[in-house]
Amino acid sequence: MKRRFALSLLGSLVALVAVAIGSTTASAHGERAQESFIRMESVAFWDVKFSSTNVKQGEDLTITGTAKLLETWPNNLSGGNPSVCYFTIVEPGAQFVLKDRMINGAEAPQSIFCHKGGTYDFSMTLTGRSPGNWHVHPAVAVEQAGTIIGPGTSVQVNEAAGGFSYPIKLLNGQTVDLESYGQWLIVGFSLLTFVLGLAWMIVWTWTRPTITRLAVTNQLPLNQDGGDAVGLITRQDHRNTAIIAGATAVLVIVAFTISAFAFPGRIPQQTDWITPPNFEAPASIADASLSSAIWDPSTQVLTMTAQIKNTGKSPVTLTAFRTAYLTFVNPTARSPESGEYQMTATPAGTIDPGQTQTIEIKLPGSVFQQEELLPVGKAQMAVAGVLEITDAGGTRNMDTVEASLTPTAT
Amino acid sequence: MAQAAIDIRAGELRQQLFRKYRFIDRKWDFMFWFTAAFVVGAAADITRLLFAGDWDFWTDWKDRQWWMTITPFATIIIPSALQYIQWRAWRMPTGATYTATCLFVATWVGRVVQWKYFVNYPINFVWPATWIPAGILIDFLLLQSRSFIITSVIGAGIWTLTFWASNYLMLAPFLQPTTFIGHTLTVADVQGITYIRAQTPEYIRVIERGSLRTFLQEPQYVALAFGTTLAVGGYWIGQFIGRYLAVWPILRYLKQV
Repeated sequence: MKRRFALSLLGSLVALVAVAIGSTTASAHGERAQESFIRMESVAFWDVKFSSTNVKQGEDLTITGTAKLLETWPNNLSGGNPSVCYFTIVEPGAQFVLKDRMINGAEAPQSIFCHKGGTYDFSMTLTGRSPGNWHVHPAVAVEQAGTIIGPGTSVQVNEAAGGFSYPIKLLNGQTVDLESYGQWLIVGFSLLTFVLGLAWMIVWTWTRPTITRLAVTNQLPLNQDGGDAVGLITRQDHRNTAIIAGATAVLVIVAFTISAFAFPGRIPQQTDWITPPNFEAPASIADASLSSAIWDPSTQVLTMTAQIKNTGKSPVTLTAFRTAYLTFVNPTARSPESGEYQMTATPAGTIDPGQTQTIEIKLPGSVFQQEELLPVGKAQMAVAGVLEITDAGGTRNMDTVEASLTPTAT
Repeated sequence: MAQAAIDIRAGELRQQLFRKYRFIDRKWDFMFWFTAAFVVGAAADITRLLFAGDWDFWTDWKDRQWWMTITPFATIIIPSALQYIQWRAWRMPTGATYTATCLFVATWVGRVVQWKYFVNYPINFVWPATWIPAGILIDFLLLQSRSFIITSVIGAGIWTLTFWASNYLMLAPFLQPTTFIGHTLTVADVQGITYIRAQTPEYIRVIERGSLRTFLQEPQYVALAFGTTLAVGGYWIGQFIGRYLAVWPILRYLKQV
């Protein structure tokens, strides 16, 4: 028996050590757990920028960028017709506070009405709240679809002298600290009710045994206690409970009345959804489509064949392919920035006005595999995203493209 | 003669009540109340979480329409079961208060340890409601009426109304209006926007959107009335649990023993 117990204890300790050694800090947000078709076909992000990655408590940082609900929106999400969106931040807990949010130049405190094909310039201002290193992403939550995460980064929040407070001004002119406003009332009143609850329980359990009463109550009808003659419930009990019940009722009535007068002008929680202004789309300079997407596991390359027609007045170049939260840059057009990857586009060079060019795009499969974006063996095997096409004047088009994924082997 | 027989019977019961048992002393009572607190607290907490969790978690969910309709129904079930058990077994009108007190400890430990210290949400945003005043009053009603039918009909109304009053007074500061991101919102709305909940987007809130036909221009009176009606149903669900899932199997076992 002792030996079995000792062996069990040793086994538990070994398992605990193995888990502790094998586990890593959970600092990202499980992006890869979301199905690849959702990440690729629903929302594309571009130009996501963080104004700072190192702030103090109380200091602001602004995340800007653009998100588009793609024309390839899956028909099994939101009934194929997204209508309500919420631009938010994905972070581990309330480590930042959100101070401002603008969508296409309009103030957007809550959800917005959105649509498939809609493009939204967003700007979200956060204030550092808790010291630490936090992984932060902008994201779009879509009703009946879920939250689609954009590219993120780690932000360091340093401690500030005096800690963090968040003053807001009420309409009545009073300034309150959102971190602690009303806390005294909540904790104080809750504790008072707890004391009353304890008093009630003590009256009934302290002065008499409990378990052995069953022998007596078993012999009485349910609606009888035998009165003072038996002694299950005495006049003293009635008096004590009436006092506690009376005190409870008085406490609630008085506290409610005081609260009603202390906090006048109350309004109910608001639902203030807006339809943001239309995105000012640049002039159309190209039409793009994909005719194939071939995945070769032996060479670890994803090859896409794109047709790009120049509908503008000056030569255009394929500059990037964006899918989910990834960006693959054509190095002949520009160098990849931090966090971006490289693709090859053949033939290189520009496309003249009126011309249609077939371009073979090769993408590093290792990136797709690492991000679990290759839906081989899944119910929807397709690749989708936006092709970024730029002309000499800097005008950019983001054309949504999609193709069925064909693996050379499964 | 009949009165004498009643008096003799009462005397016998009294003697039995105050009898000292060699192996069942007050330590057993303490162990029972203490260990049952975890089970009762967990049962009440799970029921609350499953049916009315979000309304209890966030100030910006505690609205005039749904909070008072859903929460009284969800939270009267376990107190009702405990009322039956503790009245039937010991003639103690303590079931609802005991449940509410255990739930108080369970919820506050959870909010402080998990929500304040682990994921850093301020307590004035994630504070739990209190059911203790409502529990005391319906236990008092059971003591006076000795009737589960009266306790269900009148008690459900007392439960709903007392729950509303005792928690609305704590919510009142958060219904003050303010201007935030260019719009007039309540302090509760601002908390919901400011303290980001990544997987609880704002549109998910099941709150009043202004389409409920009101009585005296106040949706909460309609909600309170409907919540009371639902709470009567919830009370009898609790009675079923207490009678047929708790007391009946135990008594059957005791008879066999």
